[in-house]
Amino acid sequence: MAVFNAKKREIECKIVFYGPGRSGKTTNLEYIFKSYKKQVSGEMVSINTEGDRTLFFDFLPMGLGKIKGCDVRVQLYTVPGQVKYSSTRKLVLRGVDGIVFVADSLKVRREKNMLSLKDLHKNLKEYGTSIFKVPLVIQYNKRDLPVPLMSIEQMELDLNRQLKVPSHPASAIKGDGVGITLKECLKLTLISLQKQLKWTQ
Amino acid sequence: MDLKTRLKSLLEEAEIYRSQGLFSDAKTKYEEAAKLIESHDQLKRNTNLLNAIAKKINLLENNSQNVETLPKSPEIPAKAQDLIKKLFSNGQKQDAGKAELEGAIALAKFGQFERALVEFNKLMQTDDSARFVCVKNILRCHVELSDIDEAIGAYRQWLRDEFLPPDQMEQIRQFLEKLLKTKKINQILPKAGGEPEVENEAAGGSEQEDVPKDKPEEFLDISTIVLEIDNDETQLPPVELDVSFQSGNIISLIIDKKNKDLINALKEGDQIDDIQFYSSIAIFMGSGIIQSKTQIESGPKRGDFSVDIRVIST
Ligand SMILES: Nc1nc2c(ncn2[C@@H]2O[C@H](COP(=O)(O)OP(=O)(O)OP(=O)(O)O)[C@@H](O)[C@H]2O)c(=O)[nH]1
Ligand SMILES: [Mg+2]
Repeated sequence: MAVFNAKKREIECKIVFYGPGRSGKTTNLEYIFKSYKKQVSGEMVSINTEGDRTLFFDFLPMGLGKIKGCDVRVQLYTVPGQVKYSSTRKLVLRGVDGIVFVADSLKVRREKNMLSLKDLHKNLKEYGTSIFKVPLVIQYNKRDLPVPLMSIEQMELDLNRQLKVPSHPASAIKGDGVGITLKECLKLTLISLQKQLKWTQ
Repeated sequence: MDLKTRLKSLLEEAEIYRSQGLFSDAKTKYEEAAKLIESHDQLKRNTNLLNAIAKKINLLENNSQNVETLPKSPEIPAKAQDLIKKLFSNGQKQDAGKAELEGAIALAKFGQFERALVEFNKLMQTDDSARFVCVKNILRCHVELSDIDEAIGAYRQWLRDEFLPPDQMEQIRQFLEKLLKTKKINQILPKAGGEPEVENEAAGGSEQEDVPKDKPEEFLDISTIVLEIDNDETQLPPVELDVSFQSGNIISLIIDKKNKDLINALKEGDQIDDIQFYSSIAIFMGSGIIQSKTQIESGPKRGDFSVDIRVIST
């Protein structure tokens, strides 16, 4: 749930990177932190377990400057993807304004992607919104790995047949596709917020 | 692909999964590789290779085990706790006191019970309006930390101090008794108003009713319910109904069109008490509100009714 301060003309919104365990959510944020120095407005905080798996969330604040006369600040979060952290995942999702779903292109992770998308669907529903309404972009990550990968067509069929949201192949570790995914998600989110909050010049 | 190339590619694949932290996928590949070796005499002689693979599998099993057994919400550094407090309360949108309370609740939700206790205790002293919520949460934190004596001790102290009005204290008593039951402790607590204290009933026992935790996120999966309509207008014998779908604390039931009396008796907005809820791990009694009642218009269940019930108290 975005915070809009009409007087100061400030808006703060929340983007959550969702997806199965190990799909590369944290890697996305790390790349953004390294590469968008100008927009990053604070430290990236990661609360993880020993094995570098996200325990609670990663957090990265950004400032996009003035858009339509309004100062736009964005908080990026990742959820923990491992199945056992379902209640934390739901907590982090609360009040989300836009979502990047990071899917894993490895063939062996096919089912995990679908289960995670289903989990997202359920959690959004329990928060009284819908996966069909929330600004959402899908990323097909790890395209660089030399192991059996699913084709993009296959992944579109698995994950995006009904949703029909923008999607991008990526290699978060190299940074390919990270920027465009984020920008697309921000664009959708801001359009949706402009509609909701009726914020114009 | 010849045998060696196949083996090589299996091993490479396994190694990549391992480096990605995908331990069980890596293990599967190593096992495939081992099978391949064992089914070919020329490779089988290479016991070194088989041993090496067995070692890899062993290590992977240990790694997965380590990941699995990590605590779900360990205490984290104070700085990270501060961040949770700040990020998960609506600080900017409301007054400071309310944000403090929300921050403390967020800490408890993330399993930071020790720190949450500090916050609730502080808040309770400075903000009278937050007392009731603080007291409830303090008890929950103690119980989550398995500090049962602390919880009961705190309750007794508040009772003696008349820290809350009697009606609120009574709610707290019921709340704590339920909470203790989730830990299989059947304790009867003294009531506000000075009834004599009954000492410690026998604890434990598998026959005891278990009560779900009072957290919406962790609502138990309910498989069947038994409800009985017994009001001024209608009296119907108890019926058992299967839950066809559940989302959080809302359960959906399908009721056969033949069950006219029951369908008529269930009115939207009505509350039904004394429902028995059956889940795989517990049976409990509670109340529910009829959220919606709609007739199914197509498919094999056409004409039957779909009824949603929101479980409100258990
Ligand atoms: N080759 C390659 N490896 C990647 C890519 N993205 C992530 N990884 C690796 O995959 C592993 C998991 O990445 P994380 O970013 O920690 O995954 P996550 O989604 O945050 O995982 P959880 O926190 O457990 O949910 C790490 O070893 C990363 O280096 C990618 O595009 N290419
Ligand atoms: Mg992560």
